[in-house]
Amino acid sequence: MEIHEFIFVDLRDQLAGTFEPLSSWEEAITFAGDLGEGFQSDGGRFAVASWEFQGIHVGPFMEIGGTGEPVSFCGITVLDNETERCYRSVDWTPVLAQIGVAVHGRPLHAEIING
Amino acid sequence: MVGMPWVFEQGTVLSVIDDYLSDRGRAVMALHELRPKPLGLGLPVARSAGLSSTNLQSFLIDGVNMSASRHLEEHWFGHDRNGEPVTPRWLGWSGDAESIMRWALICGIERSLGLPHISPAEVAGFSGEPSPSTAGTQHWPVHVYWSCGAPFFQGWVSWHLHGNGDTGGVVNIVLCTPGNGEQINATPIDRNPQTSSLPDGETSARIVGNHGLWVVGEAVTEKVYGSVTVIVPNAPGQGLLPTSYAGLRLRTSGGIVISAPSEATGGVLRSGRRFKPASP
Repeated sequence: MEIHEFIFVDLRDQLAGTFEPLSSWEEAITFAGDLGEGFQSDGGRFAVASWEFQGIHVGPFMEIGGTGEPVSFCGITVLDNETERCYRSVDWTPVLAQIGVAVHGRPLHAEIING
Repeated sequence: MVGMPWVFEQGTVLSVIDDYLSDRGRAVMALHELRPKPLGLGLPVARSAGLSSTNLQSFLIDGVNMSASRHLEEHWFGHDRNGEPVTPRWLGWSGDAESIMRWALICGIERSLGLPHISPAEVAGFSGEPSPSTAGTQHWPVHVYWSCGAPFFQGWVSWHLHGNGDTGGVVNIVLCTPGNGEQINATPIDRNPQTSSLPDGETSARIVGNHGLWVVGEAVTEKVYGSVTVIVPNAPGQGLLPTSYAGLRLRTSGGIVISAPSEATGGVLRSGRRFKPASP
């Protein structure tokens, strides 16, 4: 499968119910950045592309129910054509801020135990 | 207010405000000072409500000796004594902290004295400022507390009548503020050797004086980390969304601990802290 097509299907299937597009999935998922056009390794085993999603938070994300807030986040997907596995790196941190999770500015004292 | 190792406190400064407002004449004067005047001016909050007390003139904050008033102006309200802007200490929030604190105190004093509420929208046209002789006879005690670690700055005012109308009620004002970057003690136990042995503080609270502030919690706090994004191979259609809250989750255990913070760490003196006016 071509990398852009793979990413589109992968994102649409997994984000649905948590994040929904404003209008259509085709407009919500765009390929951007230096790797937006996609890149294939020598021999063609790995294909990679960077992407961006823009939509609405509608369902549970990190245990936080849908807020109706607009969200936008970026990621990179690497597809291993040999194993048919994929690797994804998504920057979720801005999403927490976009849905209203505030940092309260009180770090806990270092005496506590790391679980 | 001047260093806060827990999420809640009264401490020296707010104890003095309590005592200042326990005098009916001073409470009426504080209301008069705090209410904005027709030109929009009111006495700066940091110079009212007993903050001129001689025992609030010297606190060591980040190596600088300063009064509670200056601390409030610079670190809470974001301006120096001349009104020039400085960067306040709140993390993740900006806004008019001085007006919020002003109106929280105004609302609390109104309720203490049993006076009608004059709203921010009405105050510009208000001309019936009471004097001690015209303010009626009600006077309920006012208690002011600070809770630190909220997403924004708000003042909460509650009041309750339990007995005789003139003296049988109580008013509580809670200033809820964002964090200021100071670390929080993770349990009711003060493990800081510099503050754990200060007067009136008890790791296991036993002594009951005329005044008190105790904290109840569990003895051990653990950090339990949620999942974070890790680049691992996934089958297509799986593993994109984090399955749990990725922020810090805390778990407390180990049995109930009840401690009494020292005044310097947010507690109160068993004998109370009095307002001390400057010599004329």
